Amino acid sequence: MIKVDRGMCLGCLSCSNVCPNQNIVRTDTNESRTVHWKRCKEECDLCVEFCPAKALTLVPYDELVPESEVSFELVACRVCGSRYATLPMLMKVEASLPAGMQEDASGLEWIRICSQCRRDIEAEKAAGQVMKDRKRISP
Amino acid sequence: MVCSTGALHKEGDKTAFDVDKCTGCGLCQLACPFGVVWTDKIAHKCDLCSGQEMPTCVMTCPANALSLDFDLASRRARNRAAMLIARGGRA
Amino acid sequence: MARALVPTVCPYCAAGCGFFIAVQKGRASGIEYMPDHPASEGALCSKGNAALEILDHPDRLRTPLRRKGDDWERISWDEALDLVAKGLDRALNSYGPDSIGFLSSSKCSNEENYLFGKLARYIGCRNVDSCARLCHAPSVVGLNRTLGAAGMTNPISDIANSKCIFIIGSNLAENHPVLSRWVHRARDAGATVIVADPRRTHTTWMADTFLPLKPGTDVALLNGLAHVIIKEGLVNRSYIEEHTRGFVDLVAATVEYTPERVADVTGVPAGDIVQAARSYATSPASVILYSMGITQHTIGTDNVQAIANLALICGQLGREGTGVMPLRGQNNVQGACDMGALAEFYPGYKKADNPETLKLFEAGWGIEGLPLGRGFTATEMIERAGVGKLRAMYIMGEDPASSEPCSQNAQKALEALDFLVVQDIFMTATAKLADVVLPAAVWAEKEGSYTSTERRVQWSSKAIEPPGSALSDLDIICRVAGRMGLDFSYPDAESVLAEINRLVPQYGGITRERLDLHGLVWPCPDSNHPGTPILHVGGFKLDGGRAAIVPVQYRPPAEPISSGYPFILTTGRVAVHHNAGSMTRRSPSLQKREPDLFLEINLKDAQELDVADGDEVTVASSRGETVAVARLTDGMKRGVVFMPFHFPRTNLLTSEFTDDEAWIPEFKVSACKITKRD
Repeated sequence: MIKVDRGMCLGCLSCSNVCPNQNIVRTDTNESRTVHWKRCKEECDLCVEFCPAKALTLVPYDELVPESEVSFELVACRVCGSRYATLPMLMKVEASLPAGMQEDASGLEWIRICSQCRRDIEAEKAAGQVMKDRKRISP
Repeated sequence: MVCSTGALHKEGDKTAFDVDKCTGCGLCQLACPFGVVWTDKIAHKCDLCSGQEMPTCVMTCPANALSLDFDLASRRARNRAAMLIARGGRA
Repeated sequence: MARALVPTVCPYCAAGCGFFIAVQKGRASGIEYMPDHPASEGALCSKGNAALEILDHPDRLRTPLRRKGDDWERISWDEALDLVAKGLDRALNSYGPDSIGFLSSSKCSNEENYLFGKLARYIGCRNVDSCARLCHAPSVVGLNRTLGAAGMTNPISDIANSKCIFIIGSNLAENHPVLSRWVHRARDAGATVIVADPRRTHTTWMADTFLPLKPGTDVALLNGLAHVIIKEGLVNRSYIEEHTRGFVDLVAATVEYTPERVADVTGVPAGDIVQAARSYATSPASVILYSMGITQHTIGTDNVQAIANLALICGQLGREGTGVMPLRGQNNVQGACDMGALAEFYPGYKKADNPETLKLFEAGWGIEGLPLGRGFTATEMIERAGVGKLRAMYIMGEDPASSEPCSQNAQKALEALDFLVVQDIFMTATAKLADVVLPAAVWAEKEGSYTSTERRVQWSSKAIEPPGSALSDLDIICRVAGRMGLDFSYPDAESVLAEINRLVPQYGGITRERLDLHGLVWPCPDSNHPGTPILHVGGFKLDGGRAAIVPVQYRPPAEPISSGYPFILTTGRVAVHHNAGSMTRRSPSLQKREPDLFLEINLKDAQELDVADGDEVTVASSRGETVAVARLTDGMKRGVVFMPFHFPRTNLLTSEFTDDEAWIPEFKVSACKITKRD
């Protein structure tokens, strides 16, 4: 069965996605995400292999050890307020971005915006530039 | 590289995507500043219609405004900028 | 289940882009592009990409309908044909053939237009016209007179070979998007692009030199360009001597048009006029592209002639990358004109007032007593209907109640008819006024040939069955003719095309079997002829092989602005809609992008009227008024406003004055006033 290092887990759900037996259950509410590892007898270790944070290890099956569960608060998008990711996921992404991007003038504020809003902002920006070039003014 | 499995990887100057390797962790979505990669079960990203000679969007753009030829695109942008300057900023 | 790919021609503009319709289980399941198409190279604009959305649209007409009070009654084809035959016969017997009007359609195939005209003339009626009247009638008159052929002189793809592209009165980036790919290509290879337009449009974005002229001052500008070219000795002397007549008159006629004076009239800086003239005259290959900004004027024919003059004195004709290109609006407006859907022409531009023409067609059609003389034009028919001189009309695939200028008058006129039969795919504003409505098939549901703006005749195949009991226009015409006792037994479109081959010399060699995917370009006189992509190579089909330079003088538009109506209203198209909008406004993906009638107005003008972007305004002319959403821009000149004509309310306002030779109404200049709505 699987042992989880609570300090390292990102809550990204890779393990849940790859588990062939649906032994890793996710529960997303509006504000939080819970990942629950059922006690499993298989030794496929796919989840271990694919965990981006290396937070999982395969340990021998033991009926006495309780099933593990980790909960995360979901971070709200600064533009639309929708909850879109866990904090450890964002930290992990921040840490793995190239140095150049981290020193960007606008900083890393954009990471706190959900991807739908990023896309909208980008589209607005591009359209704004085109409209400016074509001089069709819209307030 | 935020992708731990190599599903998203560089092929020449473009980013390619290998569906088989994706675990759906969603980190790539969070790492894209433009919001053009997104995940539901697995990640989605434009693959430039790989397997076709030319992406369908480029082929069907009536004005030929889309192009895979970065030189051409930047030449047009430069021309336009030069024109704007020559006219004192009038488009 | 197998998926069949059926080659068809796009039903929207006249660029003639081809695409395949993928057919699965008798239904159109999608579009496949045609990367080797000569005009579009597989590209399609937003309209083309959305074309399949109208195929199975819930609003499609599915059965013949008869008016019953304020409501409609479904009837059988048998009853419908009886009613149509009786209605037309009654007018014919009581008031004579001149009391009937036939409006043919630039949306329908060559074969259908040919048969529709034949039906009218068979029963002795001269009044056959089509919406070509409302877009390029001046090109037909003006280009026939000056160059001897009415059509684009060079193919669309040849624009890429040009070194100087002069676009006047055309917003091709939005209205013929596929053409702009060739302009871009020429430009990438170093060509200069000059755009003359009262508005700053998407097309002007491509321009190296932009000439923002006042609406209706095109002749002044074109004469001004000729003046500079003559004065600076940039004319092509040997070409003028060898191929033209009338140059001396042009010199005299343009002597007054100095850049300074032209600048006063047009509002274009004198320096830009000189620069444009030099670019056009000195480039090794220059082409002029024009569209309805040139033709939809009371001086439309003059405008066209002034363009031809410019090309002639510079010798910019008959070679690659040169030419005069009228960009047509409808998918088959070129073909409708070729097939004689014009009041003054029989098929093949044979003049209706020439007894020789009648002899030819009497022999060809095996009848006697064809009517001599030109008939009434679309606009005249409506006028005559209004005063009770026209009693019955047969309208195929046209919507004059939306598209005619001052459309509320057109509606009243159509209501006054004793009998109106409308054959269409949707319940249009015109169909709502009809006594009988006949359901027709759209392009994908029938076969036939279509002629694109570059004179390319292409065959479009049938992909799917029409909805309900709708029939192809060709079928309907044959059945109506049959019910009227005429022998119109054509089994299919191919057999009609065979008759066209015999009677229209330009189409002599354009047979069904030779029309493969990419068609043939007329003139193609015999079955071995390869077609003629470039016209006027080595000479002209006019007296002595010479083109005629016909000098013209500037005249202001018919309707001046006044203190009561201080704005000039000009009309045009937007990228996602087509003409009267009966198709595109029913296409969800297009309608969503441009849902409402808007008015473009200059920022400063708007400020003075206290109008903000997005405000509703009332626009009124002496003929009517309408409501539109204001869009503020500094791309409009002060005092000029723009509205697209895809929305039926636009033509409530437009001017009814017409050109005296081509009888086209002046859609492009009407005086109006604007008030903010509370």
